[in-house]
Amino acid sequence: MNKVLERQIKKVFGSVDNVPKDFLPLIELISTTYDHSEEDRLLVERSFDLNSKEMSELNEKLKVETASLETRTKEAEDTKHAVLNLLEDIEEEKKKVDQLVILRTKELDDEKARLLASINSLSFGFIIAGIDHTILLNNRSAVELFGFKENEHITFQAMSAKFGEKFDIAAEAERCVKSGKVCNFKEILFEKKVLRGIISPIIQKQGTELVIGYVLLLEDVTEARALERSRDEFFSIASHELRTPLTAIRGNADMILDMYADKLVDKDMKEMLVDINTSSVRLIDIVNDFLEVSRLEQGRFELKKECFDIREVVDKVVRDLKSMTEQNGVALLYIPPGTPQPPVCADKNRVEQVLVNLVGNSAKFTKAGSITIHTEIIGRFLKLQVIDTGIGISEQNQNLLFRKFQQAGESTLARDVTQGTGLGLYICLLLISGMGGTIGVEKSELGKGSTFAFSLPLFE
Amino acid sequence: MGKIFIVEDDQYVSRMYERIFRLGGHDVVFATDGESALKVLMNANPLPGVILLDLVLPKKSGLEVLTEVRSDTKYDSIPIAILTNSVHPEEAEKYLALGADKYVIKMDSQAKDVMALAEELMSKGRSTSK
Repeated sequence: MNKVLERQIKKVFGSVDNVPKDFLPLIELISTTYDHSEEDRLLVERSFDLNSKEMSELNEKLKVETASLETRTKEAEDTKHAVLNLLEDIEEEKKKVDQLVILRTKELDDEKARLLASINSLSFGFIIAGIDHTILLNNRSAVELFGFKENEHITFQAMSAKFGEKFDIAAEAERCVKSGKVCNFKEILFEKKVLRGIISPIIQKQGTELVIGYVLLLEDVTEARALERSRDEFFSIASHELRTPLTAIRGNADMILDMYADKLVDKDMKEMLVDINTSSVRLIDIVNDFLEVSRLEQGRFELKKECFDIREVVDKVVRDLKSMTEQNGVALLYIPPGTPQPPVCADKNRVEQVLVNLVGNSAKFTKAGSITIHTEIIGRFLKLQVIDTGIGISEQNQNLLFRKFQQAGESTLARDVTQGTGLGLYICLLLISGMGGTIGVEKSELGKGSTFAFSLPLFE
Repeated sequence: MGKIFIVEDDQYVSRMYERIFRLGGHDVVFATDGESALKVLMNANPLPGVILLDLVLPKKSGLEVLTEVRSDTKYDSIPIAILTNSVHPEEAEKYLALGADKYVIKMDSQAKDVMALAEELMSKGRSTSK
């Protein structure tokens, strides 16, 4: 029986047993109903319980979700801030870069302006052209030189037309571009002017070398040439004017000494005449040296390119000077090499002149011993040495020897003027370099002697 | 032996040559400019044995005198020595090609050498008469 019903029956009847029998089926029914309602209640309760658990679970889930959402929102917010900051930074950087660009552009403009001003201030014409001869830049001097209007842009065609047939600028520029080497033009005749020109290739050196154009420099040397000519004329005339009276002085002194020797009984008088004669010969040498230097310096001397055996020249010089050195007790020797040497390419007379000068110098400063000439082949050159056992030259003076008006050991004012003009070795230097060789003191030691040497290109 | 004809505008130089040639026993004729040199030659009888010709001369230069003399076959046999103080020794070949027989720098030659040269030219005559 249902417990609740039982308790209530006990309250009414004192004990279940006291319930009248007639009520029993009813009580039975009530008890069952009770039970059922109890079950229903339990079911309902359980159902409630279940719902509230789900609810709380859902609630928990919701909480977690919410929390996660919040985190994500915050993260998104942070990211947004970060991105914004970054954008700001970029903006800042961009501004800086912009400023730098402005600054650099200005600097470049300044640089360009300075460069253009420099180019424009040049007295010679300056033209930069591309490989297709398009003129990219030219200065004012170039415009003036060609007689174009101010601010007129020079075109290659116009320039080429101005030069005409006398100077094929296109061909020359192409030759320069092709070779990649600087081409020099000493004399370009242009209208009534004389121009000196240089075409220099512009070479880009990134990776392989590439010629991307050329620079053309044009200098108006008309006046310089005229000045040079008048200087040369002055020198020629002055020399000629000096030579004529010198001829008479020398000739007469010579003749007296030669033909009237028996009448020169007074010793002093004879000495005076000898002095006049010696001095006039010296003066003649000086005039000759001055003239030679002037002509060599101006490049107005044509040096021949002859092919000859150096031995011919050395033998001749030894023959000519042997008696002179031997008079002073100095031997003049040439030890020819065992096998014949290949011929040199030079101006034979000029080589002889240089050798005579070197041997003559050695003879002046060698009082005993020997002067030896030695020749050998070094690469594509023949080297000739003049080795003496003379007084030698100190190291500091060796460098001065080949300068104008220099003699070892003396300043220009303190030179021993009886020894020469001080131009001899300078002339040798001009001659040998003109022939494509070199000349110098090879070695020298005070009291022991000197070795002078020069080289000449071999004939190829 | 014929006379030595000196064409020289400097009186001291010509006097010097005159002296040595006379001492050497030679007859000397003079002209001091190019024009008179040609006149002297035109009137000369007999013709001189040798002409010593300066280059820088008044009125007509030595070059002009040389050219005119060599253009006249009458003077073909007279040797001509250019006797100059020119500062262009490389021009020697030009004068030799124009018919001069010698080219001498006065300043570098002794008077007696010039006389020896004149005597040699006179005795040998022109090596290649053109």
